[in-house]
Amino acid sequence: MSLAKENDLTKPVDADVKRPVQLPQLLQARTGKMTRQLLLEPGRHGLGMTHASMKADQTTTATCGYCATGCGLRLHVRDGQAVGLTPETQYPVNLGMACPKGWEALEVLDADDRATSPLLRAGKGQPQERVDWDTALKTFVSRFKAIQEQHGDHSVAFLSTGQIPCEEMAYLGALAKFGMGMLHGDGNTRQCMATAVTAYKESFGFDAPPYTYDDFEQSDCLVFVGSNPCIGHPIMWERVLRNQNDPEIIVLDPRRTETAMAATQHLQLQPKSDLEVLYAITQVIIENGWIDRDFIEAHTNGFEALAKHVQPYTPEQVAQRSGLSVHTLRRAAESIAHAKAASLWWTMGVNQSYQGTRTAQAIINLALITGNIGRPGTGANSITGQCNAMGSRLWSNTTNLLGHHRFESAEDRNRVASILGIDSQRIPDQPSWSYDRIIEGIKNNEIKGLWVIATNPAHSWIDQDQCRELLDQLDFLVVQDMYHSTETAVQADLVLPAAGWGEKEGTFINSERRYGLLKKVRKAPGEALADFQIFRAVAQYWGVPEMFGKWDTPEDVFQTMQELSAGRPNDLTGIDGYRQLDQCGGIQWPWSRDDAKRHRTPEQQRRLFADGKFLHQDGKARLIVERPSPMPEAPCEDYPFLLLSGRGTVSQWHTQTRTGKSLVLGKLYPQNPYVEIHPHDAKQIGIANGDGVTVISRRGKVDVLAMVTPTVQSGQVFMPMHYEVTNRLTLSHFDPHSRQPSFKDCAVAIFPRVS
Amino acid sequence: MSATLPVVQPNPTLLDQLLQEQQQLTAVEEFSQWHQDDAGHGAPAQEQYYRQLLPATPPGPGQQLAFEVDLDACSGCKACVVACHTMNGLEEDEAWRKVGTLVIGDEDPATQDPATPPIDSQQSGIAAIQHVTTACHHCEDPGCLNGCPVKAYEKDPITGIVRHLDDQCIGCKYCTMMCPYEVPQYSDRLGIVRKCDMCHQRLAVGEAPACVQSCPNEAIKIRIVPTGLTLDSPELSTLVPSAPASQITSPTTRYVAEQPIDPRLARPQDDRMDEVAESHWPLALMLVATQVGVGVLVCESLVAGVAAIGGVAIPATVTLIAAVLGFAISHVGLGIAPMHLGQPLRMWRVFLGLRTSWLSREAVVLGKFVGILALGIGLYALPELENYLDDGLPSWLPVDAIPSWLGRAALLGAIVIGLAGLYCSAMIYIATQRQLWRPARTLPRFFGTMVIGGAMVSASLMAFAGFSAAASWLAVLGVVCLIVKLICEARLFGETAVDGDTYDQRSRNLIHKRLVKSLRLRNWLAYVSMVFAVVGAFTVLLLAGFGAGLLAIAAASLIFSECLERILYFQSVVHDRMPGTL
Repeated sequence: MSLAKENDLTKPVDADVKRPVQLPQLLQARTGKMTRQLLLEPGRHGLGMTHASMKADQTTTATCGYCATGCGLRLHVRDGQAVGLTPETQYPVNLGMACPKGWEALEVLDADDRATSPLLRAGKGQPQERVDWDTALKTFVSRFKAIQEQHGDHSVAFLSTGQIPCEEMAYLGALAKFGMGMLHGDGNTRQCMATAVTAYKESFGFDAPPYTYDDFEQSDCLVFVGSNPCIGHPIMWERVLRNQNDPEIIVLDPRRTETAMAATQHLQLQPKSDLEVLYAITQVIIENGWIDRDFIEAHTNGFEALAKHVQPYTPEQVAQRSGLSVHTLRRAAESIAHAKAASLWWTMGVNQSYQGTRTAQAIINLALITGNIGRPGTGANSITGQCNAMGSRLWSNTTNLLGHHRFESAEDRNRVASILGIDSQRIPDQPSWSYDRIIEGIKNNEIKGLWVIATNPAHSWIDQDQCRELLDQLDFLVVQDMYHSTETAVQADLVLPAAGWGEKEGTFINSERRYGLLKKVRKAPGEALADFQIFRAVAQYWGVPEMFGKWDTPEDVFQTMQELSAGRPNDLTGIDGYRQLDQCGGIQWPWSRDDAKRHRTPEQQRRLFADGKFLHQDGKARLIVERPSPMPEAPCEDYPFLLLSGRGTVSQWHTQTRTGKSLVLGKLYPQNPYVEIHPHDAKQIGIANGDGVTVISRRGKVDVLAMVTPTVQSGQVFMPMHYEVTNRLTLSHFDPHSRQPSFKDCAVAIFPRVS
Repeated sequence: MSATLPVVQPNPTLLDQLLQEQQQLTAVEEFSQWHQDDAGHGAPAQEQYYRQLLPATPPGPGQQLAFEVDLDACSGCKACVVACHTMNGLEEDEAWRKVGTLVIGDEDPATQDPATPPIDSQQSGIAAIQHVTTACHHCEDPGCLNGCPVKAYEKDPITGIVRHLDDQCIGCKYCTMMCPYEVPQYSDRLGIVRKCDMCHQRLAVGEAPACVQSCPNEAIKIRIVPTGLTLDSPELSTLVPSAPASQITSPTTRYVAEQPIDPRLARPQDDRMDEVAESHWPLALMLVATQVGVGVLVCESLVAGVAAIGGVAIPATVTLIAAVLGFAISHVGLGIAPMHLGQPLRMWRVFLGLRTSWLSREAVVLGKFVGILALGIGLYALPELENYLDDGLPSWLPVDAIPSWLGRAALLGAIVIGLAGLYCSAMIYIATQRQLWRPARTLPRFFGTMVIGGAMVSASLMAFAGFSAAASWLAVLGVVCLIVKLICEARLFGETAVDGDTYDQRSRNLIHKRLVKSLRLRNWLAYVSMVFAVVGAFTVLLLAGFGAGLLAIAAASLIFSECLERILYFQSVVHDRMPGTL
């Protein structure tokens, strides 16, 4: 092909350049079996040079199943099965890139510890044994029914996830609550997004992250609060680097993270002084009159109270407590106020805090009073965690009735009942207990049976030892997971083997409200079934199949979701089925029938609130404030260090049940759990980099390696959450509004380990 | 569990249906058609992103292709590693790229006051982390290529890409020692090493290498760089702080950053985290065996020479036994050595690398050593054979024409070539330019083993042959040399040792943390050997046979001890590396 020759970067410009004489093949084998193993061939479908193992007949795109970025992955399909993947070039989210987890998304499906048949424990202390699905489901039904019979409907609950598609969440929520009569269910999204949900609901009147990823590129001042996108959301960071405005980047983080290093202003504040720092910035902005009075007047409530509340939080007052200088605080305020388009972003540093809701709202307040919302490059923007945390917020039927309806509202209950074609009496009139309340319920003997779907509380829940003890106290614990080896699955009385990402269909909603499609491109191992199919089977065995008679496929549920959304802020009635989602590279909500009529195809980058209309009754946003409170377990003489936790590397995902299965990902992070500690503190304790240390909190004691690094401040230490040991130390406490655990503040002591 | 509750009659066909549905793949029928139709022909889809990251033309004379890494753009996501792994079809745990981390910051505790949190600590300190992505540096003077005994590497004259010829590789792993950057990776399954070839096949059609294509931040580019730069300026002395010295192989990768990293403030995240290196036990045994083998010949000749001066002739049978013993010991070593090869059947090409590779030279020279030694043995064996055979030797053999000195000459020749071979052995490791394997550390060890091992084994031999005085003196020589060797080692590796540079300290830490059992066994065996040798040296003068037995035990334990010493030589080597992770 002439094109290839022109581009050849390996042939000399001057054709006369002499190559050295080559030895004959017999003496110097330049080709052969081993060389051919790495041979690349021109790939069709625009793939470029492709290795034989990934050669595709066809390609198809699916949304990644790890984080809420929601990248499009191009699956290389041969003979109907996916044989490999590369990031999708055209997908509007990731623009041809993916992080290591996405690249390895298929690899982890082949792990040895995939659950391939149901496992049943005959009695406490007995081993789990293989059983067939019929036995498993009969046991499931009889045990749960027996508990409900004896202790009432409130005695059983489910814990779901942000890792399964919307359709499965909706099925689970409807089945558990309307079919099985459960009252309580929550998701692991409580651990990552509850704060953002609560903050948005209270401030905007609806859980509505207003942004689109294009805002990363359009902004000229980006503020990241408790957010490290370089590690947590690297593909979003790609968008920040594509910003052509030479933006001011302000990072509020107690650690010198990768993102902090890349910032133009790093506010390396003391942990949990974020609320005060944000109030100080607000105070400076109001004091100097750098506010958008017209916008405040027309579109918000509560400005007077806000102005009064922040008055005492002068930079001078906040400087000492936050560890920041007056100048730094003023400069940050000035940068935000003077930006043409400022956007404020937050992640788990804010959400996982005992005062997270108010901190998120302090961020929202800043965007509102400076008029930085609804325009390109602006917004108070929560970066979501899991691939379908956003779906869980709308469709899990836990805190909200399906589709962000309210359990408490008879009108909403009737509407949902009529669309589902069920008796409205079957819908509880109260939202579920939150995750922490369910765990407490086990402790109080209120909860006796628990159904855990695609999450791993025995690793991820705060104060893990207590959680494990409580799970063991249950009369009946069912774990439905891809792997039989998760910390929670090994405690289960019944393990239901689930198909994973790539083995089923459905939709995820990403951080910018984009519905993206999953594809079924791999056969599930053994007798593993898609969660959707398991729910269908449970409905049948429970005796309520007619209730879900019209839900044979995920797309059937999607249609119901569309009906439920009609006329609501999250309206998706304009979406023409899965096929259109696929063709458009995902579609952001809202996309109503009216929108679809007016525009041919949905625009790829859409943001909310361009008209300044918020979703409270009066159409205005609320400015909400509260007094900051001290952390409950500050360092003391016996436990002199404050333990922070968070993401370790890009290649580790949550409790590592999936990412831990890839050998190549395993090369990208430390294999041993470790604690990051400042050189000064290390010297005081008498430890050097790589030494073994024991970390002790009032709840647990763990052995890890010391990573000596000046990127944490003296007096603070950091441990990644991916290692099972970390949550043995953490203190069980919560944001009072969102009930989200505050993982990132507890006191520990550190000692050299005697080997 | 309450078995009395009614369970609704299950429908067994539903489960069958669900299981069946689960195995049906629908994505292709339903969705892939659109993608198939849409796929353009010609340029790959990703080209729009990487076009700017490639040079417009191939390199000209005096130039080559090189990676350029923008350290400021790298955020440490490590997608490059996995993309390279995936797009090149590597094995499950194989990675040609790696990303390490530098920790940067003033670690002087004096600047920190823990009582009051520092105000704006980011301004007073400059704490930072810098991820460093690294693959093959396609060196101007590649260590891998120079060391390869079979020419399984070539440097492309146009692009400068250092390519590995997988079908030529014998799996000797010498390139893994010669490359300061740990680039060639050995695969147990394949029995060869493989490495980054800058996606040569992609560059040949104008496509970007996998890492370049996959970096979300465009941090990796391919650039044309001039060759022949001098690397003595401080910026060019290492690729990044803590990396190996660039003058070893002249790597071509360029790491660029707006603010260069101050090497005084940077240290790798895996600082002090040295791992036990491969033991290369077949090589360790081979080294000790060939050294002892040559040593036996040397000692026998020494004794024969001294005896001749004193007017005593050593019987030819004793010389023959010594030669056979030397031959046998060396041969065992040379027989074991190929066990470390992944592809021993390809070993016959080992002469190809003679021009640059000490490994090639060692193999050829030691091959010649056993050849000429065999000749010597043959010559010494002829008279014995003649006596042994009833009919004598066949008449066509020109036995009479063979001069009597020829056997001794062959043995002396074998000694010279053997010494050259041992020197080549030492140079194999010296050539890696690893500090702990420098000449002053390697040559005394290797030739020390020759002297001590040769003396101990010959002492026993002479004792059995009835030359008690010679045996006694040889044993004393062996013990004295062994004591010197042990003292040198103790000064470097002993628990209270203080000698040495930072490499020695790291090596010492590694030994005491992970290898202390080997060290103790090595020393214990050496003491056993010394005790038996000393007692044997005296006993042999009174009770020749018993003394000879004691000396044999001394020799055997000495050989075991030296093998352990050599395994430690391999396992405890530490060297500069590219930054790693904890």
